[in-house]
Amino acid sequence: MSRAGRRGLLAGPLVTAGIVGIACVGLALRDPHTSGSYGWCPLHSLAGLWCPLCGGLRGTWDLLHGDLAGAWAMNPAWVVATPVVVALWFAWLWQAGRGRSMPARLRSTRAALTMVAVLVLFTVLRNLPWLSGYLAPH
Amino acid sequence: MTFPPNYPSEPDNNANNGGAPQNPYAAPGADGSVPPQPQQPPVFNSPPGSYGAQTPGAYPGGYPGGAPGYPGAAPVYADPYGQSTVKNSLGVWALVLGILAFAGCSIFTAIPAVIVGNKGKQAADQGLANNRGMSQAGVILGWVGIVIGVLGIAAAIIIPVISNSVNSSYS
Repeated sequence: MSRAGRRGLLAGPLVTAGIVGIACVGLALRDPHTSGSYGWCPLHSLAGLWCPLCGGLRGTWDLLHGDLAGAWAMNPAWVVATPVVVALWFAWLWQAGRGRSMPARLRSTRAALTMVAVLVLFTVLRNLPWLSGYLAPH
Repeated sequence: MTFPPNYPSEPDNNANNGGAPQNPYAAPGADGSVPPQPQQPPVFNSPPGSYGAQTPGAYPGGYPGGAPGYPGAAPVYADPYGQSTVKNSLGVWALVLGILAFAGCSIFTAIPAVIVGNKGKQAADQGLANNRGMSQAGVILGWVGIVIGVLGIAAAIIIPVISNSVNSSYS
């Protein structure tokens, strides 16, 4: 792999990290626990249901402030996913540094559909009456 | 990229239909320089002598699939066998990311949806995927998601005081 090609590969994880870093700084400066500070979830406003990402901003804010229990109360799926996402980012950076892209299995159609299935399952579970006390923001 | 040269050579394959067997070999040879083409070049490079005889029945071999180098939809429906699906995952990912952008991830998946969707469209134009529509949908959802996300961020900065007075839940 040429030097320019490797630099092009490295641009992906580095630009991603830059955007996420800026977003985290902005999020830390503006508390999402204040109702409406980032708008409202359209699904919850219209239907009263919790979408899979409800509590994501508050959970991220809690994680940024070291409050793991608070983050878990907001969106446990996001708390579980965060270390996976961080690990995937490091893998992406590592592979790009060696001039390679991520393994094909992680980019397959099956991986995409698996992610969708997990999100749908989590959405159903956190809207069940006897589970929403644990899985919905509280 | 090497796919622009496909445009002049591949119309000949369909138009001559066996009249000029050299051209079909020229096209896979040109494609062979593209790394992600696992299926088509080996098939047609290995039995060079028999290919001319098979040209009328070339559908099982799938070579007319080279024609999906065109952006148009007609070759896709005329010859579904010929188009490879090795890069169809790009279209699926683009659509998933585009929908997630609307589910609340906003620009965090909208921007990837546009990038992946454009890659998927490119793959479809090269005959490596047959789901150009999914990629296109991902790109459109991504762009709309970016616009909505940017507008939402702007609104969140401009009108914080008004929204604080309303008591409701949010994402």
